Amino acid sequence: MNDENDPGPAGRLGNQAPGPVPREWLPEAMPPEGHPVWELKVARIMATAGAELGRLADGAGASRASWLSEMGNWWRPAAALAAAALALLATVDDPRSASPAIPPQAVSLGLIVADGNPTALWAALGVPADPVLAILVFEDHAAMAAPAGPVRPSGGGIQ
Amino acid sequence: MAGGESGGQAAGEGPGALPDEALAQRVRAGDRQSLEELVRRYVRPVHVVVASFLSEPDDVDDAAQETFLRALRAIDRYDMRRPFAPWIYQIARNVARNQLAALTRRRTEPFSLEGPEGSDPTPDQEAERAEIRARVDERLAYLPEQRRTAFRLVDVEGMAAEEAGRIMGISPGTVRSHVHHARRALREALWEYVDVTRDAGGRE
Repeated sequence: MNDENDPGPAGRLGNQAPGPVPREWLPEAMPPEGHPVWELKVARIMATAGAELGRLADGAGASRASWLSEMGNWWRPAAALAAAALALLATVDDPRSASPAIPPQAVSLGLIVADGNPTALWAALGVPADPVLAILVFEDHAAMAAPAGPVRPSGGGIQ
Repeated sequence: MAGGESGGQAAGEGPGALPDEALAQRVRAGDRQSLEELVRRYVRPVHVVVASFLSEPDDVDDAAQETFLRALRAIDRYDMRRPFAPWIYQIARNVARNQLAALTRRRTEPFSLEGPEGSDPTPDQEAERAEIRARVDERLAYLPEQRRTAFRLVDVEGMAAEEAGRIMGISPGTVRSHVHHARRALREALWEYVDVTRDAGGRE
């Protein structure tokens, strides 16, 4: 490459694998952490950030306020609906407490209401019935179809 | 970067004990102390990153300041689940790139070619060093961005590959690879330089 004793800075690189480039050839490094210059730069940046910080603070406050007002907007109709529902419940009778008016033809409904008690069923149909006879007659479809009247002892009917 | 670690500290402590992401969340609500802490943590790395694009100290300062302002304006869009360092690094890169483009348009000449060449006569060693630095600057300017920034962080600023990778959002291995290629490119550039100057010197 040359005949000089000192090949110069670049010549000293040789053919070695790329290790670090000599420090004195590189750009100046930044001052280290903790150097006063960084405090000055921080102060400068903070001075310019004031307006933007204010906007963020205002935005955060406004969004909190708008969240509350939004909740208020939803709570007012919701509370009105709840009050109306309570008023309805208070004024309307409980349908379960009302006694059903069973038409004579509604035998199946009568059976449900009678809860398996044929006497009660006959009573619902307006027929006074003997507890024992009522069971026997109930099994007789012809008797069921017959108009209201005193239930006859069915001594022969069973045969 | 003393406070850049993202480890979990107690949220009830002062801003200095909080991870970057928690500070960013507070900044979102306009908390001045948290912003100051973040700026303190990142003021040097951001300067280093933009300095890998820009050569003039004033340009570097302006770009660093603009980086923090842009980050502040965009803090609502920052995803708190992601690390803060690569996010602000990306902003710094964009700011520096834009500023470099603007400067290049204004100067209508390639970045960083005006070096100490042709300055006052100095002793031979000093002149040679200055010329080599100019050559290094020029070569660095033509490196791919990531490679240049990794080289700047590691070889110029003396950061560990792990720290540089944390800032850049890449693995330490990738940082080392970038640095390796940057060193090789610089050495090639310097070999060429040496040949040219020796030829020139021989003609004198």
